Amino acid sequence: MKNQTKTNGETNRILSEVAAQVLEGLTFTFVIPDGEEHTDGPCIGVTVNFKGPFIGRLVLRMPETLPALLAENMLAITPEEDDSEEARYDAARELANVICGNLLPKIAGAEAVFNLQAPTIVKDEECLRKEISEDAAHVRLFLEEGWLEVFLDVAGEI
Amino acid sequence: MALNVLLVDDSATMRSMISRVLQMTGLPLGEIHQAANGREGLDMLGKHWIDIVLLDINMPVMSGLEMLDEMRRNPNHADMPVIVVSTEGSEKRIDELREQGVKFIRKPFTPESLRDVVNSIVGVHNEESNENEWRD
Repeated sequence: MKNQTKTNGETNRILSEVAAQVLEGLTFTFVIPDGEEHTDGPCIGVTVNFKGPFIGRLVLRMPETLPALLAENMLAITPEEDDSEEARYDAARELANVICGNLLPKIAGAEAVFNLQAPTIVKDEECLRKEISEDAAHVRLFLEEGWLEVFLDVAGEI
Repeated sequence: MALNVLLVDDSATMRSMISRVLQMTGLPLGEIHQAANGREGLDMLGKHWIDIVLLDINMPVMSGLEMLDEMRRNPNHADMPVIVVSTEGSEKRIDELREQGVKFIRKPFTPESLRDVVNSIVGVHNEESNENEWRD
């Protein structure tokens, strides 16, 4: 998908702000401004396709351990109580859905109407790479436990 | 009087979060019913006494907007209080919802914002009930 943004820097700033606000408000997870890079372990992704004044896709990439933390925070449960893969993936899907819903009006304006498709989990790293084009807007956020990458892939001009 | 609530959202996590927040508000809650899409929501409305509906928009099978349309066409549910709890960001679409008498809360929400919106509906509802009792 070809990504043509106003400026990549501006889009990345909006991506970063919206993702941080949603992480905090929805999952009670906080972004660490100067987090340290570290080697990635196994990852999963979540994709949300959308249509409106422009079409595109939001992709989240995260360590496979992060959805469990999201579910624990969102559901106020302990790690011992969290034994459901479906609950973990549902939390990750909802995070992607809420980030996408909050992001699009910030980019396209408050009057723009978008239709979001149901988020889908991508477990395979190779498949996930294929979901993201090289010119997608992209930010990496460091969290207290783990990290989150947010990609916005748009066809045409924003 | 206890409030019977219907939560309609395709995310079980979100339904659970909303249910927990409602229980923290101190509102007199009765039964909390749940549905994963608009079609299931309409089925629930046919089976249970519901006082207020909390409704997501983007859902598979039947969206929240489609469910709302069906409710407004049915005399039994046309005036039922509805709160849309959604990621919807379009002011145009939110205005259209408000024109249908729907309250709106954007995700992510705070417990206070949810409580305040539910309270505003319950308050209005109580005033109307009292007025009707006075007329009777």
